This record gives sequence, structure tokens and C-alpha cells, in this order.
Amino acid sequence: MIRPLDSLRLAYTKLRARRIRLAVTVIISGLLFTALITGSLVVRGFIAGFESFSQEGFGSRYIVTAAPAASGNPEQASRDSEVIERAKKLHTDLIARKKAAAKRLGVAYDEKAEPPVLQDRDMSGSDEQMVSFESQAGNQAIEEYNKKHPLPGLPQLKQIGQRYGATGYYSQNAPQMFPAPALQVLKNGKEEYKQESSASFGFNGSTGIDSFSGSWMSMDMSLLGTFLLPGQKAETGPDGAIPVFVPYTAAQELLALPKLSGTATPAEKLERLQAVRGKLSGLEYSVCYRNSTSADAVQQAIQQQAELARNKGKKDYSVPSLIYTTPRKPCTAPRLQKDSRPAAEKELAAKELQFRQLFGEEPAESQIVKFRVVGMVPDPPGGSAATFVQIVESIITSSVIPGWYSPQAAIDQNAVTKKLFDSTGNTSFSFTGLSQRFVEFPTADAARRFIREQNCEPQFTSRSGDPGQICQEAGRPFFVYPFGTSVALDDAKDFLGKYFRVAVLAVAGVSSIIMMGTVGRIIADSRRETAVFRAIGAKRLDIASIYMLYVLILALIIVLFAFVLGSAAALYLHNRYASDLTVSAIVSFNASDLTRQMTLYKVYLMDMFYVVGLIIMAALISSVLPLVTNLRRNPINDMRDER
Amino acid sequence: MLMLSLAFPDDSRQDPIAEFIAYAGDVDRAIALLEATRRPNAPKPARNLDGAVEVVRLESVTKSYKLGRQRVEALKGVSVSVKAGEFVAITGTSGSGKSTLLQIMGGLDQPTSGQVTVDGQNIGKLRDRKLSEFRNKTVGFVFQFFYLQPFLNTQLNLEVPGMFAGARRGPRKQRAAELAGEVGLADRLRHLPKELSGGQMQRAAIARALLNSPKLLLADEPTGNLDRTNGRAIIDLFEAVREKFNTTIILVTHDPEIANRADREISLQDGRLL
Repeated sequence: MIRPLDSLRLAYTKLRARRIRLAVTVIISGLLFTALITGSLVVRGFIAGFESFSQEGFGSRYIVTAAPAASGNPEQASRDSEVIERAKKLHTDLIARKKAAAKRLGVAYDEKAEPPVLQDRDMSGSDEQMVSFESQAGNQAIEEYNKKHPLPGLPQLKQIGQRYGATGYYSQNAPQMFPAPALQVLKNGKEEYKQESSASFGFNGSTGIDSFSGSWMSMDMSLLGTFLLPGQKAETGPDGAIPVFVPYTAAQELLALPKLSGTATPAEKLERLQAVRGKLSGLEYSVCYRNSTSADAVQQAIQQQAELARNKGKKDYSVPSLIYTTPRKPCTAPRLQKDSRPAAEKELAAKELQFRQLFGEEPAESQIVKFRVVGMVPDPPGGSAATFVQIVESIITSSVIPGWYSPQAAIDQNAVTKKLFDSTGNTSFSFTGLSQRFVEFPTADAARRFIREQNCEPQFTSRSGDPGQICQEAGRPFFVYPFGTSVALDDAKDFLGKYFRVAVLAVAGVSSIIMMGTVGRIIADSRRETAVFRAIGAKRLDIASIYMLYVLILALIIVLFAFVLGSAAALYLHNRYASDLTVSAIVSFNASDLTRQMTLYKVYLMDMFYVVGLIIMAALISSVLPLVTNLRRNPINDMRDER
Repeated sequence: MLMLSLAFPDDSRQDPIAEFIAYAGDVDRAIALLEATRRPNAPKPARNLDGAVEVVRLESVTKSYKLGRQRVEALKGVSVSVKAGEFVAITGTSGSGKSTLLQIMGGLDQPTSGQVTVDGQNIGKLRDRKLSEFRNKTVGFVFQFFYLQPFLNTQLNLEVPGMFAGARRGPRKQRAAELAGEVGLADRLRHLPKELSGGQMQRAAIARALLNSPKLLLADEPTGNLDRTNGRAIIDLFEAVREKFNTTIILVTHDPEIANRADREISLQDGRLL
């Protein structure tokens, strides 16, 4: 029997003899494993960094978001057949009442000018209809429907949460959206008068100051506390200023800091962050609130001024008898510039106003509301993530709260904002999609079990009916998913643990096939060598030991290659992106320790052992078949064939 | 020490004759051997094999195999006996069964029927493991195409049979180096086979075959791939080996000149002894 060292000597000598073939084999077989090792180092590093930062965020808290498993979307109600019928009836009644009132007040009323109560549901030409949001009667019918079908709220959530040992319940609410009010942050105390094609309220995709009107919400302090700036309290100030948490980009705009260039270094970004944190705390700013009537009046004045400017000097242009111009003082009513109307016309206009107010138009209202910055939250992920950093940043920021937030108690102390958040107004309904509830659990398991057993995703279809009906009937009225990092991180780790192994197995399978084509080929090509060894007295086990050691050395070279290349790739990613991610993480988690670093390189031994084991196994598996075939052959035939 | 290096045409720097004379213990026999190597067709000195033990015994050996749809009878009841120290040449036309006979003697192939006894062992009954040991220790093979391992240098090529015998590295290395010196390859130990000439490769193959001191050296047309001069030198080497180690040599050849230098010639025709 050959001595192990001699087997090793022969195997190593044979391996060294064909260096180009060896290099090709190592590169082809090793690249897939290189990708795996890179993946493991980067992802494990990212998780480690993420965990380190999340100690300051929601790292030790297991919170689940629970949104009503019904659309809460007025569009769904607008398709309901009962709502349609009711809207039609209300519309007929409204026209009758308007006709009577017009007759009584002596104003003209053309029912044809009334927005239609129904509209086509889609552009596909089908005859299906829905209630029009332009219609007053339609909105009223939807409002009635919503009152009859209240969305599941905190009481129901508490009832369910108790069964899972929930320890806390929190709310996030959005203000009313219809009819659209205007909320404008005053820059340097000035109101901007811009011509709007439609109402300015609503999410506009901005991450700066302009995003306030679309993403200001109320939020429970238990969730916001993480983002409180040093020395601040989330309470209404003596001057009535409402405490607010602002997104990072908006914070920079509020401080009138120039935008950092896209090529800013991580050090510059960190310096900016420190500057923002230092100056932002306690900063006050004002917001002009206008109800829809006031906002419309301003828009009318802007349009009128634009029309006058366009027609200036034109002889055939007849100047209107009533002209308004934009307010001199911010957040006040438009100024009357000219009123040359005859008395009769003025009287008629007053009657028309009376008529409109009779049928729902609110008196114009505008007011300045003061805010005080008490905290800073990360920017919402903007658009589609295209670069590596954007993708990873979106993972970080998706776990925190993007938007402007104030505590509900502070909102309720201000009459204007309280009204804004009261979703049961006569002609308004809230966009309930933004109103969410949160449940906190003591352990990740409890949170996970809650998600597993209680989640019900509403099925949105183009057909009528409540998309959450199935969920309601099943006794699972909420659409639930993890909030914050903890459960998601635990799940991510489980996912990694589970699927990394699956990925390794898949790669090992593919690599085995590749190796059969390379290692297997080398062994198959060694038929004559094997035959000569057999002729001069080698036992089958001797040959097997030489080739097994051969593939073992080869596997170790592949391991070395994959680890060196994988490490180099991971280190490159770390050096290239970790600093940027550190800044993102500091903002996202409001980390006070600015020396903490995100990393994209961490050796997780279990992953490495797994990969190494699989490489060796793949190499051995790939060699077994050709080796057995070789050993079973007649050496004489092989020597003869190879001449 | 008796040097086996005689006159290798591709190794001119040696003066083998002087060395041969100087180191020979038996001057008369050495001179006779030298004479024989210089005049291949001269009558061989008589070799007394009386009382020598039988090393190879084949009794009614047949071998048949399938070649496509046809069944080929390679050997038809061959019985042969070879004594220790004997130098036997197997001759015959192509396809007469020479190589098959040699392979059966060396345990590389099994007879279809009959009995093969080598060094007292019935090798037809040996299992694969024992048969490997037999090929490793009892016989040494020399092939027409040398069959050195292309990835091993001369030193390691020579050591390989020792490795399979489980020999320790030190003595094995020393033995390989000695044998390399004796076949005139002392300065070629670090060379790969592709860096050797045909004659050198065959000498390396002979040295390899001798590493485990086999009782029987089997050579299948060892000069078939060499020019005449190198071929003669190889036969000289065989004779010197036999002289030094009393190794039994059985050699397959087409060449009547080489056959003439053997103690005995066994001729085959259509699988039968003539």
C-alpha cells in the first residue's frame, strides 16, 4: 500500500505539471464560489453593521404594522352598486333643492353645469360606472357608505393582539385630503404664490420642504422618541408651536443649507449631518394653512393677475370689473384691487355666494401655524433604487419612518390642525391608506406568529365590492407586516441562513457539473497513466488515493482562489460604499455615536465552512465516476489504445 | 560494484569498458561478456542452469478473446518452463501470441484455461490485490513505448514501484539513484521524460523495472522503438542485469539478432509453440 505522503507527492506533482489546465479549472470552477463568498462577506457584514446601529433604533423592539385589510380607498366605495344608486338619488334631490333655492334667491342655476354624478369606470369602453368625486352628491353617498362600513381600528387590534401577548398599540393618522386644503411651509416667512393646475395638497414625491403638505402625519411618540434631537421635548411650546420631526433633506432646506453635490465625500456628508443636527434642534418655522375656499381664492387671484399681464396693452381686451391680487401679508385673504361692478351685480354676487354656501362651500379660512423642530427622521426612499448604495439605503430606510410627524396630542391642541385631522367632517373623508396601527410584542417569535396567523392581504380587483371582505369574513381584518428592523432583520437572518445554504447547494451542483467537465476530464485523460501504475503494481486503492488527493489539493486551491477573490471583491465593495452607508445609517437610526461604522465585510465562519465543505465535496463527487471507470478498465488495453 | 553501464551510444562521456574491467570481480566472465556485447552474433558463453529452480511454468495455457464478432484464439495450449537466471526470447510473427503470452506471465492478463505458476505462485488464482503485489514485487516490466509517467522526473519515475511497495523514502531514493547511475542516467534524475532520448527513456524504464529487485524481468519488444545501436545497448544492459542480479529475463522480439543472444528462443505461430 502506498504511503500517504507518496500519494500526496504524486498527486501534487501531477497537478503542477499542467499549470494552464490547472488555472483554467480553478477559474471556471471557482468563480461561482467566489460569488458566494463575496455575497456571504458583504451580507453578513451589512447585517452586523445594521445590528450595531439598530441598537439605537428599534433594534430591541418587535413592532408590527397593521393596516385595515380593506382598501379604505374612496374609489372602492364609489364602485359599490348601493352607493351608485344612493348617489343618483342624492343627485336628483340636490338638483331639485338647488333649483328651488336658486329660484328663491333669484340667481341663475343651470343643472347642466352640475358635475355628473357618475362617470365611466375605465377607458376600456365598458359600460360599468362609478360615482364621480367631482359630484357633491357622490361624495355624500361615499361618506355615508364609509360611516356604515367603519374600518377596523385600535379596539379590534387590541382584541386580537392580546391573544399574542402584545405590549403596546400605536397609531399613525393622516389629515383629510378632500376637499384639498393647502399647507405651505413659509420660506423666510414668505408665502409663495404659484399657479397650480390642481390642488397642492397631497404627496408630491418631493423630499424637501414641499413634501410637508403631502406627508405630514400624526404619530405616536412611543415610535417617534427614537428620533428626538438632544434637549428637545415633543410638546407644544408656550408660543403654541407644534412639535415636528422633519425629514433630513427638508431639514437642510429649512436651515437654508446649499444642497450637497452628488459627488460629496462621506466625510463631507458626515460634516453636513453634524451641522444639521447642531442647528436644527428647536428651529421654528411657519406653515400657512388655507382651506379649499381660501386656496381657490388665491389661485383665482393668481390666474387673474396672469391674465391681466398677458393682455396688457391690448386694446380689444376688456378689463374685468372685479380684480383681486395676491395677499400682501402671508396667509391672508387676496386683496381687492378693483371693484367697478354696478350695485346690482354686487347684489347678485352676494346672492350667488349665499347660494354656494347653502350647498356646502365653506367660508374662506387661512391661518399661520407654527412648528418647532424637535426631531429628525430619514428621507423616504426616493424613486427606484438604481445604484448599489441606493438599494442598500432603501433597505435601511424602509425600516424607519419616512415623512413629517407630530404627536397627535400636540395636533389636537391646535384648533386648525385638529380639524384637519378630523376625518369625519361633513364633506371630507380621510385617505385611510395612510392611517395605520402598530402593535408591539415582547419577542420576535410572538410578532412573527401574529404576522403568520393574522395577516390578510386585501384583494383589489376592478369589480365592485369590498376588497377586504374576505379578510373581514375570515376574522383577520388587518394587513400586517413587520415595522422597524427587528423582525425584518431576524427574518432576513433566517432567510440568509436557509437560502444561503440552498444557494451553496445549487452552486455546488452547478460547479460539480463544471468540475466533471474539467477535473473529470483530467482523470479520464489519465487512463494511460493509471494503466501504467496498475501494470507496475499499484493497487486500485493506491490509484484512488492519488487521485482523491489530487482533487483535494485542487479543491483547496479553488477554495483559496475563491476566498482571495471573494474577499477582494467584498473589500472593494466595503471600501467603495461602507462610508456612504455609514452616513445613511447614522441618519436612519439617529445614531449618537458618530464613530460607529457600517461594514460590508464580515467573515461568518459557518458560511465559510459550508462553502469550503461544498467545494471539496463537489470536487470529490466530480472525480468519483471517471475514477471508478478508470480503475475498472484493463490496463493493457489502455496502454495499447494510448499508443 | 559492478556497473551495468556498458557502451551507451547517446552517453559518450563514459568509458564503460575501462570501468567494467576495473570493477569486475570475475575477470574472465567480464571479458567474455564484453566480447559478447561487441560482437552480437558471436556464440554466447555457456551458462550453466543445472539445478536452477523453475521460475515460470505455464501448463496448457489458452487465451481467447472477442474481437468484434469474431473469437480470436491467441494462445492454444501453450506450456513453457523457464528457470531462474535464464534469458529467454519469445519470437514469432505478428499476431502469433507473443505479447499475450508475456502479459499472462506477468499477471497483466488472465489465461482462459491452463495454469500459470510464477515464483511458486499460481497467479491465475490471485485476487486483484495480491496480483498487484505480484506485479509490483515479483516481476518487472519493460515496454516498447517505455511508459514513463510524463509528469514525473526520472528520479520519481524510478521510485514509483517502490512507492507502491510501501518502501520508505530514504532507501527508495538511494536505490533509484544507484540504479540510475548503473544505467547511465545519474545526471538525468531531474529531467522529465520528454527531455530524454529514446534510449535514455528505455534505460530509465529498465531501472524502474529493477527497483523492487524482481525475480523476473519481462520485456515486450524493448528495442522496437529504438535504432539499432541503442537497441543493442539495451540488450547489453539486459545481459548485464542478468549477470549481476541473476534475474530471469523473458523478452519478446521480432529481431533474430536479439533472439540469438538469448539462452533460449521460444517461437510461436498461431498461438502454438513451434
